[in-house]
Amino acid sequence: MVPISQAWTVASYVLGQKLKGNKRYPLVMMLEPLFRCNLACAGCGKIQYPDHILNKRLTPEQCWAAADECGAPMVSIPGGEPLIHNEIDQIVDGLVARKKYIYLCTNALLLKKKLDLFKPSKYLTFSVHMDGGKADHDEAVCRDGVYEVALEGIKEAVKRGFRVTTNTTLFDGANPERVRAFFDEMMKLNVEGMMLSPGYSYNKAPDQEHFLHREKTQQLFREILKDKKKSWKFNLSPLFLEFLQGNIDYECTPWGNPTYNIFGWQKPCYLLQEGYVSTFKELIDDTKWENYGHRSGNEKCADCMVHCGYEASSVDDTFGSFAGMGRTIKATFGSLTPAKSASR
Amino acid sequence: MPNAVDTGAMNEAKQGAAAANQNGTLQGREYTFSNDQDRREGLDAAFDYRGDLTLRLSNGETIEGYLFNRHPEGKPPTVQLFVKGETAARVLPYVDIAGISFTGKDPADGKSYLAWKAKKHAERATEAQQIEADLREKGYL
Repeated sequence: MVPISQAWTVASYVLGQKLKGNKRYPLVMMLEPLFRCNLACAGCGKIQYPDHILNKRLTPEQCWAAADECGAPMVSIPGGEPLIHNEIDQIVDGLVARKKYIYLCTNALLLKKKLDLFKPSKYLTFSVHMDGGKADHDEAVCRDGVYEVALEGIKEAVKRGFRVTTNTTLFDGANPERVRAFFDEMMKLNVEGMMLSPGYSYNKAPDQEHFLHREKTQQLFREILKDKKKSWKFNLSPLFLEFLQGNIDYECTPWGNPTYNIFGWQKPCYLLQEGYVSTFKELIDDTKWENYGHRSGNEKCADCMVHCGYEASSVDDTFGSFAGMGRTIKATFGSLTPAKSASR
Repeated sequence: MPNAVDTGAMNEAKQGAAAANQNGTLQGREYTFSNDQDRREGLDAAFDYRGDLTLRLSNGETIEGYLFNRHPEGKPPTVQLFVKGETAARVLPYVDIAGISFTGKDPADGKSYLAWKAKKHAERATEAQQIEADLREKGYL
């Protein structure tokens, strides 16, 4: 579970946006300070660029300015592999000073080696990429031995008092029983919680055969999350887990996780790359948002049920009404039934 | 007015690329724009391409870099690209671009993944052969 201070910060931020009448507000800023990675995973479409682009870095000052401009209470730092960035410690320090809750997404290959650069803080979480048990993870990242290294990194970070979560992306062919066993293994490591999402069908990803379609996604997550064990802790909105199982229907909130990288603010969302603008205001004001989301008819959005589009929808539902809060409480302690759930 | 019928050089190039290789990459292709429609499609394809490319300008100059953005509705329409070795992005009007060559390697061609799959396939085949040989030695086959 997230610390109470984080839950309170997010709750008061969302309620503040609601009171101000802001229809489109950011929840988590996605900060990509570089695209260089030390893996080439089968389902990733983020890092396929020429060398001189992979060698570019956002400076700490650019990162802080973007976080200030955006104003989201949480900042997720994916990439590329953020720990390759020579100034990642400065970037994190500056964001902590701004009281941003940071999720530093890493494959953990460098985690043990670089932990000394960081100080444990309630504002900093290492979100370690783990796509399943040893065989499944190494297959997903297309390199043998990565699971073991990541495991060592997680253990060391937990031992030193850092907040650690796992971050799991699932694709077609995932075995529900193996995923459940994997959850057990992760919880034994004393991680704070697990993040979970189906993969997005990036057209630049090397493996185009294993992206999940919507109905298959719901079926897979229903099988994985049936009789959810009490020992499993998820670092996700309970309503997002219900959404993944098809127990509630949301529309995407593509502005919920705005993305900033070496090219600027990415239009329209973290997953689609339809162009860049130089200010966050331009992104919010000039994007034709009606062209995106499951119900828009945009084929690129048809099967997407990814965390960065729908977690913000879930959180907005929670704080949008007493009924939403009621659904959240119900989902926290059990599960919604599809017949009774509202389409939001 | 741009020609609404998609019969330009870009369309031919894309079809040629699709026929030439499994991933339909435009790597190695080059062509000259024949009209505004063609230029617009060509720059859309350049925006989608994940490798470097070379733009041939109407003044005879060439620029090699990574084209990361385009504003077809801008007044005037422009592209933005990073030239190797330069920090700031360059902005070029559409109208100045006469042709395009997909000169850089396409990093999204999926070859690293195919290599990984081939490696794993070979490992599994070797393992299966080893098991079969063991079973034969023990007289089970």
